[in-house]
Amino acid sequence: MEHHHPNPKRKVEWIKYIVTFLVTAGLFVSAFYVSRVIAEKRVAEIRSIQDSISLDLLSSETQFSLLNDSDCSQDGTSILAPELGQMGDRLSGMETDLGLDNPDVIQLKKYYSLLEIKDYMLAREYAKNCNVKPVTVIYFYKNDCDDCTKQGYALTALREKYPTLRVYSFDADLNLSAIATLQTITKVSGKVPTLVIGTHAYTGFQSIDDIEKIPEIKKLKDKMIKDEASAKAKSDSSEKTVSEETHQ
Amino acid sequence: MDVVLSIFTYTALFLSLYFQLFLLLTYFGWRKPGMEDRPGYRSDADLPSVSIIVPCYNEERTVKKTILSLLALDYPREKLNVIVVDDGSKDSTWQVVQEFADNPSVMLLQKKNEGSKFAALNFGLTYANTDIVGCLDADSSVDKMALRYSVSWFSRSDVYGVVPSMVIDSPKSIMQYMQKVEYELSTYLRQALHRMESIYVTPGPLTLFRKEVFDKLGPYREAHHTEDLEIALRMHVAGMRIAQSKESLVYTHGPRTWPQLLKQRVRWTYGFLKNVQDYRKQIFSGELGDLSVFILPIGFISVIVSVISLPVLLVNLYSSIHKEAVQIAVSGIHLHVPMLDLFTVPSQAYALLGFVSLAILFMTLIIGRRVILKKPIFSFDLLTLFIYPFFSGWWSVKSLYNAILSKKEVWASNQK
Repeated sequence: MEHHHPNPKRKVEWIKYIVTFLVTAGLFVSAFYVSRVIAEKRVAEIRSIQDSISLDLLSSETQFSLLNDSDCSQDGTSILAPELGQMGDRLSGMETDLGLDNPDVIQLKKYYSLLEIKDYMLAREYAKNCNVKPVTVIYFYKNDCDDCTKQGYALTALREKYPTLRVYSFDADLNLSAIATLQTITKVSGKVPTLVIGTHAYTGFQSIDDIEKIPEIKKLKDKMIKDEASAKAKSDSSEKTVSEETHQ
Repeated sequence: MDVVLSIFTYTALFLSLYFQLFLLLTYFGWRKPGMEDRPGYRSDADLPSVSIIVPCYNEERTVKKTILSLLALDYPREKLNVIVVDDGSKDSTWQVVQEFADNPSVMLLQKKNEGSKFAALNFGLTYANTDIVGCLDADSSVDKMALRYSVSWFSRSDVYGVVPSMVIDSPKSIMQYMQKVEYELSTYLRQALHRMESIYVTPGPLTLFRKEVFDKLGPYREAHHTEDLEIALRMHVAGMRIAQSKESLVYTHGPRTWPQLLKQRVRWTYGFLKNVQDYRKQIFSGELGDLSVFILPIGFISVIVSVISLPVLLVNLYSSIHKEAVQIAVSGIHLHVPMLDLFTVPSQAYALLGFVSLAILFMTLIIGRRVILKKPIFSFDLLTLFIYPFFSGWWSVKSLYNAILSKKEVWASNQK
C-alpha cells in the first residue's frame, strides 16, 4: 500500500491568533470596565445614604434648637441615624475593594466620621435633656494593626448582641482635625486600639468578656438578662394558662 | 510586592483565558480543514491487521482483565494479535498469562527487566508483523468498539497514529477522583488538539501506529522515561499526522495515593520539559505549526505559572484560614448568610475574569462529559477541581527543580 508523502511544513494561521488576542483583550477591557462601573455605583450609593443621614441629623438638630429642648417622648435611639452602623460595614468593604489610598474612599470616610461625631453629640444632648443614659462606645483604630482587626470582630459581635449599643469607629490615621479634637476631649493618646466607654479609655485589645465587665456595659447586660427573664416568665405563665385551659 | 503580584495574576489570567478561548474557537469550527472526516473501510476484509503489545511488570492482578478485554474486541479475530511481554516480573504475572498459552491470537514473551518500559515495547515490536501496531498498559482495559473506531482513522493515508479517549476506571481514592475529572477535561483538550494537528503525546493505553512509523523512524527511545511523548514529537517532525478517535474508550487506573501520583506526574512533566528541550531546534523553527508556536510553548509556560501560583495560593489559603480563626477566637462561630447585592458581589477585575475562566472551564467539562463521553454533567468529584491547583503546583515545582538540576549535570559532563 503506497501512502502519500507525510505533510510538508505546516502553516500557522496567524489570523486565528490575532482574533483570539482581540477577544481576550476585549474580555479584559470589559472586566475592568464593569469593575469600575460597580465601584462607581457603590460610591454613589454610599454618598446618597450619607446625604440622607446628614439630612436626618440636621433635621433633629433643628428641631432641638427650635424647641430649645428635645421631645423626650421619643425613643432615644430612634432619633439617631440607625443606618450609620451598616454604612460603616459597607465602607470597610469598599476599603478592601478599592484600596485604602483611593481618594473616593478617603473622602467618604471623612464625611462618615463627621456624621458619627454629630450623631454622638446629638445623642449626648438628648441624654442630658431627657435624663437618659445611652451607652456609647467610641473606638479608635488603624488599618494596619492586628489587634484592631480582632477588636473590630469583638465590637461587631457586641453590636449584634446589644442592639441599643452605639459604636462610633474612627480611623486614627485619617487626617481629620475633628477626630484629633475628639481624641483630645476624650483624653486618648495616639495608641490603638482604644475604646472610650463612659469617661474611661481602655487601650489595647479588649475581649468580649473584658468589655462586658466594664460597668456601663455590665448594666446593659444585666438589664437585658432581666428583660429576657421577665419576658420568659410572661410567656411561661401564658403557656401555663393555655395548658391549664386545655386541661380543663 | 503588591504590584508584582497583580502583574503576575493578570498575566496568568490573560494567558489562561487566551488558551481557553483559542481551544474553544478551534472546537467550535475554526479548525484545520480535513481533520474531520475519515472514509472508513468498506468491509471487514479491508481492515488492516493489528498487533497490540501488552508490556507487564508485576501486573498479576490486572493483566488477565486487560487481555480478556482485548480478546473481546469487536474485530476480525484473524486480524488481531495480542503480544504479551513479561518484562521480568517478580510476581506471578508469567504464571497468570499461561492461561492464554493455547490461544492462537495471543503470543507470550518473556524478557529480562532493564528498568524502562520502552525496552519492553521495542522487544514486542520485533515480533509484530502487522499493518498496525499498538500498545496497551497492563492496568488498562478497552471498550469493545474501541479498536474499530480507532482503526477507521487509518483509512486516511495521512494518519500515522491514533490516540483514544481515556477514562479513569472505578476511582476509589480522592486522588483517583481528581484524575477522573482531569481525564474528562483532557478528552476535550485532546479533541481540540486533534483539530489543530497538535497531539503531542501518544500514551500507553491503546495508541495505535502504522508499523511503518517504527520502520521509518526507528524504535522507541528512552527519552527521559517518557517514550510516548518522544515518539509523538518525532512523528510530528517527520510530518506524520496523529488523530484522536474520541469514540474509542480505554479504561485505565490512575495512581491511588499521592506519592504514587506525584512520582508519575514528575516523570511526565520532567519528560515534557526535557523532550521539548531536546526538540527545541525543530520547535523554534516553527516547523510544527500550532504545536511550535503555541501548544508546546504554553505547556512550558504553564509549568512555570503553576510553580509561581503554588506559594501565592498557599499564602491566600493561610490568610483566609487565619482570618476566620481569629474571628472565631474573638466572637465565636457566626453563621454568615451571604446576601447578593451591590455591595457583596465581587467587583475586582481579576475576580470577574476568574469567573469567566471558571465558566469556560465548566463549559469544557460539559463538552468532555456530555458530548464526548456521554456521561452526566454533575457529580461531587467536580469539587476536586478546587484542590487540583495545589497538587499540580507541587509536582510542577518538583519537576522544574529536577529539570534544572539535571541540566547542570549535562553541562558538567559536556565540559569534560
